Amino acid sequence: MSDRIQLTIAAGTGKTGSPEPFDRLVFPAGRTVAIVGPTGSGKTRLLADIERLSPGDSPTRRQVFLDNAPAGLVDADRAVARISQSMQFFLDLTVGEFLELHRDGLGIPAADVDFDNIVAQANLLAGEPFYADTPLAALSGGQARALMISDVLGISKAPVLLVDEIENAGIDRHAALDILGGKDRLVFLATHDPLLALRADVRLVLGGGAIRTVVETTPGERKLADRLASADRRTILMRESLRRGEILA
Amino acid sequence: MTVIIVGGPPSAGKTRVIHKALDTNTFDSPVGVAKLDCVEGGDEKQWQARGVPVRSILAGDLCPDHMLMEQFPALLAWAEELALGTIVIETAGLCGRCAPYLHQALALAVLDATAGIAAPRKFGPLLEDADLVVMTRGDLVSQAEREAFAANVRAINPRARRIWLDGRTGEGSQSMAMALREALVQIRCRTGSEGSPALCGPRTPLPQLYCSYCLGRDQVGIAVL
Ligand SMILES: Nc1nc2c(ncn2[C@@H]2O[C@H](COP(=O)(O)OP(=O)(O)OP(=O)(O)O)[C@@H](O)[C@H]2O)c(=O)[nH]1
Ligand SMILES: [Mg+2]
Repeated sequence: MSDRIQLTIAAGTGKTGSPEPFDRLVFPAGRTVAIVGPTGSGKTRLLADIERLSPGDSPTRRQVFLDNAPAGLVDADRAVARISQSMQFFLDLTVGEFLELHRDGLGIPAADVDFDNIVAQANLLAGEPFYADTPLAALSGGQARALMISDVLGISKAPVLLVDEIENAGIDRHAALDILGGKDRLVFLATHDPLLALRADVRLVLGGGAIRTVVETTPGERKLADRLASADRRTILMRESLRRGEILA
Repeated sequence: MTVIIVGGPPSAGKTRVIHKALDTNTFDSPVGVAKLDCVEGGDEKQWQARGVPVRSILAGDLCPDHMLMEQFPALLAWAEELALGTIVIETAGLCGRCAPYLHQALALAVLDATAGIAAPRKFGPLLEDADLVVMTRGDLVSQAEREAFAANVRAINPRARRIWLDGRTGEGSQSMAMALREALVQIRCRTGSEGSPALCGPRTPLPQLYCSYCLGRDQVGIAVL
């Protein structure tokens, strides 16, 4: 039996050059890690360091190591997937053509990928349905993000997932977190949303470009997260009623 | 003498690539930079500021690839005079018909990912004949776009190593330094320790003839001289 993956961050420096207050942080598979901090505190930079498994040549000088990942994935730069929604340079492709291009570009055999399933899963996350022959240019931001999530899970199958501010994506973020997590995966989630931060197992608190504090989610916080989630679901139901033209009170 | 020829479209990040290679102490001997331009570029100051000897060549009425072939012996003489061990030649990067690479110089192509995922299919010998491809501005596109861009680069030139470099922050410069050092060892094996780049020809044949437009004709649409 192979060991499960594990990601290590060796301390770098913040914007003023002062070192981060730890030696190394170790994250085993199965965890969801929230990255919190005000705008400009270095959340996106941290995601970028993790994405490249940085050898220490980024402005933070952090080093990131991934252990026990299948060598094939690491060599092909496929062990870490970043979920974004920018597709402005794919110009004229349809959803199906994009998936094909992505699959072939990564050198994955056609038989290993089920496009119908990827599109169906994306549609569970976003509002209006889209299809394999929908042009990418016609997707909304939310649909594009849903497609990228489903694409990463269905095609690159990376064990480490990076998600930047999913709350602004216009998709069902609870459903998204449910399908992204899993015992063999490690999810990093930069977020401003307390609900998402509390749903994580641990949170990294950033400031001045550095990781300042590492906080394990407490049992009390988990209960709080449940309460917030049910309030959130009520808000979502109200939004749907409004969209149907209903009067709420 | 080790010669590195950096090709790539205008503004692809060629100058930044050379800066990052210097930052990571990639070269084991004193380095000079030569820049070929079609119009006055004003890059010299950057190199002077770093204390790197620099030489500018303006192509004038000639195609810059042609100009490089003509001026190459003079560049070597310049480098020898200054006792340089490495010359990095940054080309003007142009039409796609030819490429500026020489057989016994390391050929490095710099490509900008924001040119679009189909762009690698349009660069011709600039990409096909390169030993090493550095892809820039990956920070401005998504991971899926980077993957598609790199796959298209590989489809056109499966032989060359591909490296992502952020020309502003230097992310990727360690991998680039490693790839450059390896590629330089290979080039030196090919050249032999005594080998003189002065004796080698272009990898991509330049046009065989001058046409009458090269020679200054100013009327279009005349099929026969
Ligand atoms: N965002 C971003 N900008 C970059 C990157 N690489 C280069 N640039 C910027 O792009 C501009 C052009 O870079 P140069 O290195 O001067 O390009 P060049 O190929 O040498 O240009 P010419 O010699 O004029 O053809 C500069 O302002 C760089 O800072 C990158 O990876 N990301
Ligand atoms: Mg330049």
